[in-house]
Amino acid sequence: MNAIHKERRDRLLAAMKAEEIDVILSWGNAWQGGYLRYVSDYSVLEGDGIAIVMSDGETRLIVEGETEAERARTKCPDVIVEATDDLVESARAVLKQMGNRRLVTAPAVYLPFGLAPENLDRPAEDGTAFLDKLLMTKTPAEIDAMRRATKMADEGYQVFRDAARVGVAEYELVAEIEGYFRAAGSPENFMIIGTGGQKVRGMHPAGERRVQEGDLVTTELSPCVDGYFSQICRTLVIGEPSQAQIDAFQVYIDAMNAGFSVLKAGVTASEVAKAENDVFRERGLGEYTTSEYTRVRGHGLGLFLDTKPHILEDVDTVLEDGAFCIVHPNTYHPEVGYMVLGDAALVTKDGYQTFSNTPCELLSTAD
Amino acid sequence: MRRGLLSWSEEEVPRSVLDARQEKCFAAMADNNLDALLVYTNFPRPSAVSFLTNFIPYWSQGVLLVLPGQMPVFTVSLSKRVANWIEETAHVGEIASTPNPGKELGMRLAAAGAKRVGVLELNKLPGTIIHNLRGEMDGVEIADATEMYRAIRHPADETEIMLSRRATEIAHTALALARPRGEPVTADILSNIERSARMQGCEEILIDIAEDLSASPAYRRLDGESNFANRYAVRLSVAYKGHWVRVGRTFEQDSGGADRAAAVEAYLSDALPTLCEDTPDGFTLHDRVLEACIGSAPLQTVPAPINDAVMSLTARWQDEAGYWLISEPAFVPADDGPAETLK
Repeated sequence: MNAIHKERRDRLLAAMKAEEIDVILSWGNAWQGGYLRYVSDYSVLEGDGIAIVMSDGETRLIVEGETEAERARTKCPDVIVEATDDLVESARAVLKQMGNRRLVTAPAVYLPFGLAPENLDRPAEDGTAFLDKLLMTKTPAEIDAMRRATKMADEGYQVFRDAARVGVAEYELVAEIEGYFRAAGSPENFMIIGTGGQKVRGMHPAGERRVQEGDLVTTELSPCVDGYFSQICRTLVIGEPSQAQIDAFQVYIDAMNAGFSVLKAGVTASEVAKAENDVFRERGLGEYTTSEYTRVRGHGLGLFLDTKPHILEDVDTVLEDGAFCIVHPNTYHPEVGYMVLGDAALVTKDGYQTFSNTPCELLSTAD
Repeated sequence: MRRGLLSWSEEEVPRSVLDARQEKCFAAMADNNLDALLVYTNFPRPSAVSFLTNFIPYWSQGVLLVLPGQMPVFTVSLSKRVANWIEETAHVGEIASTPNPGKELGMRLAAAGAKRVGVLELNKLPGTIIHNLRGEMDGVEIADATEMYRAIRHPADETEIMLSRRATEIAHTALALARPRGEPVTADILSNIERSARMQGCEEILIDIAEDLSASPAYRRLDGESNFANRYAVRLSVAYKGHWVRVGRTFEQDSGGADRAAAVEAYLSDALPTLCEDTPDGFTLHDRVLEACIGSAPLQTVPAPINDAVMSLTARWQDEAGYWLISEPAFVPADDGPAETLK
């Protein structure tokens, strides 16, 4: 067992003991993998998976198909791995052997219908909040992984910046970044992209559009190290930036700084979002902080890329010492188009720490 | 996430093909007394919605609502800002962006008067979707429609075969970069493979490696450091426009490796029509796995060849030096005829 998972598992078992939980059942897949990875150290690549963890640490992992099971056995030799073509029935069979031990399941919102409490022949409680608490505050080893992921994001952004030239297609840009991340040892990356001008209202997966002179090229890069995702958001101008682009981007710089100015342990996600959005409102751009134009003003980072809490004005989750999140006031600007800026930060008692070295400014290929 | 090229070319996937697939679905629904069909998608489980609409999610989840004789409605938990992108890549009648797909579906099913609703892979659908759907409807009967969907999923049409050929071509071109070139093999080759496949416009590529086949035949996901022994294997799972294939080969860094590899290729040319029921000279069988797309997952293990289907074969053989691994897709025609290469 690697050091980071040992630290994580010790924490999990201690928390289970404190809460008198005998068994945890956690579901996950390549999209929503954080809960499963936390308890089992495995990130499912194909299909869905279920981990069942006993209070003594014994862990079973049920995955779909022998192809995935082989990957799991190689990655997690301490875990009992089962390949199945019926995930729900296999999990039920394991639970049957558990007698009347206290069982919690997570995450409630994605748990398969066949394992929903009403479809189990035994009591099960929702363990989502229990695991969320562990997922949200990071241990020293987890923080170190996040720091390394942030460094990789910085390096990846430099590759992106070098590759973003007139004539390159969006998917070719992504190919360059992905090639870099695989060589650097990152197995996964969340990345969306926007290219163009005033009509661009957001980012999307890579398409066939080719970059043109004067384009704003926006991206979120989110590499993963030891299962932990960090993220960087930057806007790049192809060629010399216009004065309108420079002026518009100042709002994003000020908004991000405003968000960081209130960020420290004990504040709510709402307070951070409000600080960011107030900057837009003060400049007559409040409309562009709504869901018509933007999704969130940041979010948690960790074993899941887009984890709790979402930085939104209606989210009252308290950011605790050791939380890791990105502050990103990404949205559409009516004069120049969609712009992004964001850095990941560790929340501390006194404030926050960022690990990124990429300048927080409107970047340009002309530099 | 899916971060390769996600687009819809109507030259490659004509609307008429998607219409024909939807018509098959309507007919099956009538045969099974279903008033509606729900098909779930997220990026690890994109294939059934992709089969019916071409749409592949890069993130998040959605449920396709199929009502008899109507263009499907796609309920999706992506924001409205992404709706334009979905419209560009999905053959649907309407996109309903909602944070609560279950509630939205329940309201629409109630309005349509649906009494019996089929769900592909019902047991695996997030339970909250069914819970919220039922909250909007009294007395609806929900039935598992997995077998019904499997019955309409094949035969593969020309579009599926053509796109699978393209995926195979991308994979082989990229995998050629894994051949030893007289220098120690490093992780850089894997980086080059990834870049090559994506530059060719693949939707996704997954790289598995078996670094030392003298010790173990097990593939692992490319993650962190890699350390290649003399005999190693690389397997690529490549998607192109929603169609997945696996292509894998074994390589040896010593001087005899190229001859052994050539002999296996010659064997494959002869044996692929039977999906490698026997083994190459000098090898014994370790195991053999057949996979096909039969539901929402891109590839699932199946016990036997499926007629009129694109399949991926993975075979592992043993000799005195260890294991030898290959993966190769093929089209299995009707009536148990010889499988055809997609190369």
